[in-house]
Amino acid sequence: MTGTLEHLTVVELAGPRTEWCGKLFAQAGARVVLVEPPGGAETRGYAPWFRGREEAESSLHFWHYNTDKESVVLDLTDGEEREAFLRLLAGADVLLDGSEAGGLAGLGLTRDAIAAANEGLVHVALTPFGQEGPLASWRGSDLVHQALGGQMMMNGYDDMPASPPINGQGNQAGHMAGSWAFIAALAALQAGTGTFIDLSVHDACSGMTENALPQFDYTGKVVTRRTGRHASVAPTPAWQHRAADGRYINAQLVNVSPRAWEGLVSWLDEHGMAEDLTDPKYFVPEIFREEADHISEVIGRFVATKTADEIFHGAQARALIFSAILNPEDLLDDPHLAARDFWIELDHGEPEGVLPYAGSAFVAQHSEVRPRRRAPHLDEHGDAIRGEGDTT
Amino acid sequence: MPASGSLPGPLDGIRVLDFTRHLAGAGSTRILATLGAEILRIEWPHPPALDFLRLSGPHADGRPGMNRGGFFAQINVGKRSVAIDMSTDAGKDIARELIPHCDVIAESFSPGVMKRWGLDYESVRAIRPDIIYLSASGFGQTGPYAGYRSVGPTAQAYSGLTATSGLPDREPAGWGFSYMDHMGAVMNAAAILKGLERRRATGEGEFFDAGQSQHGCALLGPMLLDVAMNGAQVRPKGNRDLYGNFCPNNAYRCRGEDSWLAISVREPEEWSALCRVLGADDLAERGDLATLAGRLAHEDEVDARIEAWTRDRNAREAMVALQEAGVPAGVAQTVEDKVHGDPQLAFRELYTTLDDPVLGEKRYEDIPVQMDGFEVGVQTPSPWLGADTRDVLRDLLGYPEERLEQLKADAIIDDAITLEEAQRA
Repeated sequence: MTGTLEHLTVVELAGPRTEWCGKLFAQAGARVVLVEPPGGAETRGYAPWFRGREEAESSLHFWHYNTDKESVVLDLTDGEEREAFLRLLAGADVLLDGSEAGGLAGLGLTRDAIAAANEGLVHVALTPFGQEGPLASWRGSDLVHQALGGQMMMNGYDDMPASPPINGQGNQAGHMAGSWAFIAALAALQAGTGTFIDLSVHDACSGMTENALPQFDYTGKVVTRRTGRHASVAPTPAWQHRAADGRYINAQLVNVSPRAWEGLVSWLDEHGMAEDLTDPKYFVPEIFREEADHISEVIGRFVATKTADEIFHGAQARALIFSAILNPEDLLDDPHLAARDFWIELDHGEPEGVLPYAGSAFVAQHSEVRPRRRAPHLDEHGDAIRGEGDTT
Repeated sequence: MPASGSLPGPLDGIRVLDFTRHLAGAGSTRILATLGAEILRIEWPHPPALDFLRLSGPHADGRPGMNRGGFFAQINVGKRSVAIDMSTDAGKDIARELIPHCDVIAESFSPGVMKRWGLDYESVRAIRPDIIYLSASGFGQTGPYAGYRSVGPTAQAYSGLTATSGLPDREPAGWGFSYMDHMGAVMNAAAILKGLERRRATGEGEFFDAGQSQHGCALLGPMLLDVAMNGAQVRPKGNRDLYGNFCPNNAYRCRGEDSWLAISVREPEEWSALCRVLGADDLAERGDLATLAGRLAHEDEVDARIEAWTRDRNAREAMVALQEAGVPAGVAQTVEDKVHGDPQLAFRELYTTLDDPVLGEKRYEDIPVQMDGFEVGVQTPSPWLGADTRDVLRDLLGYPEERLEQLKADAIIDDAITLEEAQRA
């Protein structure tokens, strides 16, 4: 099957901010040319390492985010190589530019110069704080952006005094902003004219804090973090319980239908653990809310007698939105992901051979979104690419 | 950005028949709306077509009502609402009549609902072959867990994300910002746009089967290869970088109640600058701390020295001092900090105020995108339930007034066209 976006060509200036967006294009079949500085992309030096091999061409971080891409090294401080870069842009649909605000212009690659190379080009500039403004020159990181964006103050422990707010691990600020860059670029392509897109990581994070803004705007109250559940303005019942096998369960009881409640109570009752939850008074929403802590405690006692998997599948069979809290390694033999072909293999050639990779979460019917090729070695496609469009 | 109305949106002319609900579903069509698409929300005041967020708080003036929910309003800006009872044959017929006029169908019901209504992909495609169709669900349309239900916390738990965030040796912290509801919405919008882009190139339609939980798995990032290739077990490390690519990298206690400053350092010049601001000449001179690997070996010591400096300082002043010296630093902000104390968000006008006759003047989160030559962003408030029913059926389908009256009398459609009706709902 053909790739969903196989008709597109994307030029990506290598950098931590653009690599997720570039991967979203590449796994959908677009040709993505990664332009690296002499010495290579910064993230070629990021851990984790393949089998602990802390050396060139062994970064799993780089391997993950750069599947399917082509690599060319261009020194943009050099006039001839800048020309080669502009020739590349002339044949591209999208430029992913994660340089600092004003960084390319300082090399003579102004917005106008880039637009002159290709007036139909969609130029996506992804900066920590935007092109202009009082903090435009400030520096970000995954942690710093989740702090400023508001994620951290909504994530942590309310049953552990003086504990810090906690970030979400795994480059999530980059995922939030990079996904938005993908959306903005595709939207711009629909209009059929070139444009410059100014996208800020800080803005992207700041707009992803669930109900925090409406709560503040309507009630004047600030949501605070709650162990294992949504941040909220008022305390909520615990819904993260420890199962008999030591793993945790997310047992959220929000918007529970009468059918799901009946299923839950009869399940507990089968094991003689329903306590007073069989009382029909719990069908009254006000009583359900008032007794939420008690209900949570009864469920917690039941969960403690079962494995996390038993609770997960037993609850879902009863239309409850519970899940076991899986560790990342649990996904490797998860039957559902296997059935949906989430794990794939890519050939690295010698010496690594064929290696297991995560595929994509996008499942399409007439086209394919799926990594097909390992990340490029540094400048692997350089000779061919540097010559492209060169008529001199 | 406040709307001037003088420039086009990049998705002008794209019309979406929208059966999504909640944040993960309806958030995706919000994104399309802010980029110029016309969104026709098909809804009804009873399940399954009722979006329960219409009943969720906070509410305008603290009084519940279908058109009074602030969270719903946030997620549904810029859309139109068409109230049709899809449990009736006549209602299903109206929906089918709308299909030729739409480029996209998006739905986020449990698997099976759209088929029951005769609106599954194969049926819709027979009417409009180039339709872009998104089915968004918790676990996708196929596989052993296809019938499973999910909201953000479910998807976060299943995907492995929850387990990776927290303090070491404590239970998981929980991603209390409901990450996978947001990222579900973002990925669903991305799928639809991929379909539209492919249609632009090939003229063909496409169907996307999106599972919120599977998107969560994909967001584990390099952890995926670490477990698959290295057999690693990933466990939380608080705010320290999971893979030691930054050090120091932590949240440090500052003066005042629950006040924290995040600091991340990777480059040698960032480390020197940090030492300079801290007045820590002894750290700057130590060769064993000059490299990332060296600092990782002494992470407890480095963290303790930084917190000794931050704990008596105002977090914001410390942040400014560090950033001005070139050190990545950021206060852990609350929503109040962002609304009233963030000059960059103010400069970029991330919060737009819209006036709605029922909700009053309220703030809305705008999108992180500014696009030369286009008007993008939040421009009009969320629709009252059924506010656009008559206009849409009249303008798109040519229904005469008498027919609209009859359909309303038969409770096939509903509308809310006066403020009084909207207030009462």
